[in-house]
Amino acid sequence: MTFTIEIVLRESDDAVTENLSHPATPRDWTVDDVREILKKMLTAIDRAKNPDAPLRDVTLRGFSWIVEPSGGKVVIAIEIPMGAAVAGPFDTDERRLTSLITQALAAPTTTVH
Amino acid sequence: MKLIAFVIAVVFPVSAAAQQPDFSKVEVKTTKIGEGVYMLAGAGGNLGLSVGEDAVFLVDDEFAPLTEKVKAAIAAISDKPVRFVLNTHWHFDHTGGNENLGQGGALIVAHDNVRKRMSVDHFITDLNMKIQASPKVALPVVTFAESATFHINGDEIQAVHVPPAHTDGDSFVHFRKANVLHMGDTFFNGFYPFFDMSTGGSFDGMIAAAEKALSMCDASTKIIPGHGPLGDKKALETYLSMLRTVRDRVKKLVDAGKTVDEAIKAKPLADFDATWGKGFLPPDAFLKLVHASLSAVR
Repeated sequence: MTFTIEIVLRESDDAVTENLSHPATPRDWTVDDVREILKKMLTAIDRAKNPDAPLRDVTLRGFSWIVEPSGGKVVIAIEIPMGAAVAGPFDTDERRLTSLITQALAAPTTTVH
Repeated sequence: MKLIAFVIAVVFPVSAAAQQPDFSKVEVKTTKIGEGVYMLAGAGGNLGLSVGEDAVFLVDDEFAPLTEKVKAAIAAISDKPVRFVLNTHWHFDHTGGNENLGQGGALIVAHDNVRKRMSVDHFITDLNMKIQASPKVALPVVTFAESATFHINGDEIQAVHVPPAHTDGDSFVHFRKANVLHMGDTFFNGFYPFFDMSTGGSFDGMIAAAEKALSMCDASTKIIPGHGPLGDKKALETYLSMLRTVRDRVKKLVDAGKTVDEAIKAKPLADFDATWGKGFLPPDAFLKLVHASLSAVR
């Protein structure tokens, strides 16, 4: 599926729009999918801010987020010091998506067995 | 040889051990691809290797009977023991040496789902193959959800989890300074790929993984595929183009309600088969797999 992300960089009045894709449909998303969506959003902000820089890895830390209803669907809004972005709309349940994002951000990044 | 093994697997349920090749005849070939970075190729998945002043870091370890040959190939380059093994996914042709290397003191690292998958018995439906749970010493000791970075040998070696593609525990390994990317089995260089729907793989995921890898490459990047010869950005672009075209053609048939047998009769990939259909998966088997995957997401 493809979705739109609108990015507004700090100290800019213009929004940048990009189309992104992800293989799974929102109703089938797992924590893994949500983690990837968030990383794609953060990467898109970084790309908008630094269009000529090589692709950088992002980690899921240091940002605010919320899932908002939008026309019967939902969007994900995130904000970092560099700017803000809204992605969607996604045809899925607001509470379920909120729960998946919460799990994605809470999961330990490394485990020693 | 691989084709024969596949046909046997499809017709008869057999254990993984029964399908393995004659390892006594296998040679492990070493190719230098960057400063301190090598590709090793034997009978299973391609290996990545980083050597230097700090440690020997190995990506995947093929089949158990090949461990001594892999260690001999490494010994020709470095006098240090293998300290880290990074598994790109759980399949036995990439993790078969874990037990031997784990017993030898190597720290095994992988995505969370690799440990989960290796901890229990599996039946890979599309290969009709039974895989037994691995012993404790073969399991990854350190697992990660997103990524793990190794600061060794003057490089920054980053393992990055990819959303479900070949399996649900795939990782790329990016040797950032050397500009080498090991893609595991998300990249079969030069032939149709297999993806394991029994453990979370999907065709759309394979396309997304190739797109992600492409975004991490430049014209100088050397790419180690899970199977096939050493690749580069151009080879990956060609592979991705093939995958996208296959998806478009097969999805049309799926959307039109064509059964898998009808799809095979339509020969939608006839012009690709001579080039891409001579590897692990025969053309019809690949088409069946793609049809099943695209049907599952309708």
